[in-house]
Amino acid sequence: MTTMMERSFKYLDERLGSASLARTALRKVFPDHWSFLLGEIALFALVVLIFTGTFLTFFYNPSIQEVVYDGPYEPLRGAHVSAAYNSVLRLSFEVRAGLLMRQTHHWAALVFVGAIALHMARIFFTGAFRKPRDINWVVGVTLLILALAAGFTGYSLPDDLLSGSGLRITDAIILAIPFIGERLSYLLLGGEWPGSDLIGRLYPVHIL
Amino acid sequence: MTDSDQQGSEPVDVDRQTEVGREHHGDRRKAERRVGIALAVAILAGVGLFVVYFTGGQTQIEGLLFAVAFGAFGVALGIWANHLLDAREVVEERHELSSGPAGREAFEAALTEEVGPVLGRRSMLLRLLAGAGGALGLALLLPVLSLGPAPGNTLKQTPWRRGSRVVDEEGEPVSLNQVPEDGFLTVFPEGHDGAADAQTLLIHVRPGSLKLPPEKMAGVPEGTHVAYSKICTHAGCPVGLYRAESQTLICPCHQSQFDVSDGAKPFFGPAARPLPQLPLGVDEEGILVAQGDFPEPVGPAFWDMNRGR
Repeated sequence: MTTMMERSFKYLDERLGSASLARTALRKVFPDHWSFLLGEIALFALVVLIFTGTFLTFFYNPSIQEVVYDGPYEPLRGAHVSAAYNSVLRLSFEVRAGLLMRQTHHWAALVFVGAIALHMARIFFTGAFRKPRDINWVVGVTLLILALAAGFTGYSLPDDLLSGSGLRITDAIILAIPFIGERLSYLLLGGEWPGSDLIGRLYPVHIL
Repeated sequence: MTDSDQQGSEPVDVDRQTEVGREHHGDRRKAERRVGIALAVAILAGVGLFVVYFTGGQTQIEGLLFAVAFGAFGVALGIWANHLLDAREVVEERHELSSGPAGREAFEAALTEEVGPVLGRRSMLLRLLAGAGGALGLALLLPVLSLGPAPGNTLKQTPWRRGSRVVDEEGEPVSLNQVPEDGFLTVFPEGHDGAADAQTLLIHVRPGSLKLPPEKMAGVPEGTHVAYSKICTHAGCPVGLYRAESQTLICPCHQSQFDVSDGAKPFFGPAARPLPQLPLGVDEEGILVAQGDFPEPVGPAFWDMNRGR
């Protein structure tokens, strides 16, 4: 058993030079305070998000074409719903472990944004944003904004009541921007509210 | 996300570190046993996931097993790190990021050699280069405008026209007194049922309860059939709740409240404008018709909403 492990280490090291890399990683000096792990939590929440999100893309259909629901969820039978919402219902009620993946994605997203916010607070209050780490701080703030944007687009994709209200309010906020608000709103929606292009556009933005 | 934690620390070389020395002496035996138990729990939960999945799946149990498996795994790693590994305190000097004045001079020399004397003498050309890049960048942004049409007047208009028959959500015409007193109905102009900006609330109020100026009362058949835009003037949510005894319309999104008897003026919550009133009339068959479009833009405010339509 030992020899097999030794052999595989040797195999990898001769091809990748992994021994010295791994030694560096193992010898890494890491601060011994829990607040330094907040970034780690965000990182692993992202890993969970990518795995569960990939699973969800296999079933989600970003279309607002109207279809009649005929799945196993009784109260909605015969209701006219968008194809997007229909695919979310299918994912929740018919795909095995689909709801588990949806919920894991949902909660990982909450933990992700929360962990980033706490991580940034830790950096802010310990002064770790100062030169020479100022560029890093700006990158971090940008990532926080991107995380919020991803959270919002993800909230909007199921095309349920929450999505609709959230988008309607967002459109109202955009409309209120001086001078360019109306134009901006029409560019995003592809026309007047509710527009036909929005869900189809939010999907690639969310994945990016 | 964590790079800022370690920025400034190059690949660690143990020889450079000063060991202050601090060692944990726990009961290793006990710790090993606890790590073993935690890992066993993680294995059991993992196997349980297989069982639950193949016996039909149950989301809550699956979630619980996931949590137990990951949790036990984490506990095991935590005990392992805290009680079975030696923790030493080391001090690591931060290395200098900057290349220093000498390095910068060397760069300038190399730059001059490779691309010519750009710093100073060719500043005019450099500015033109930046200008060309900027112009190209702006031109490349143009396709963004293809994403949607210009708004024009569309935000200020709805499909309601003079003579539009009032229909319900199924497209059936709505006649006078069809809605019972104190009742209300969401209506649309005929041929546009479901149009987002045309949705309107038809409210049958008690006789004599409206306090509107005469020109507004002219759009209220029998003095009892009043119609207001259903789109909240705050953020655009549908104002779908009507409290008949106080004649109050309530928006469920942010609790704006509108006084139906007084021209749907907001008296509570964030909305600042009244819901626009749709002037109604009755045709010879007793069907409700519009006398025209809303006199003001419906829905949330926008920049030039008060300029002519």
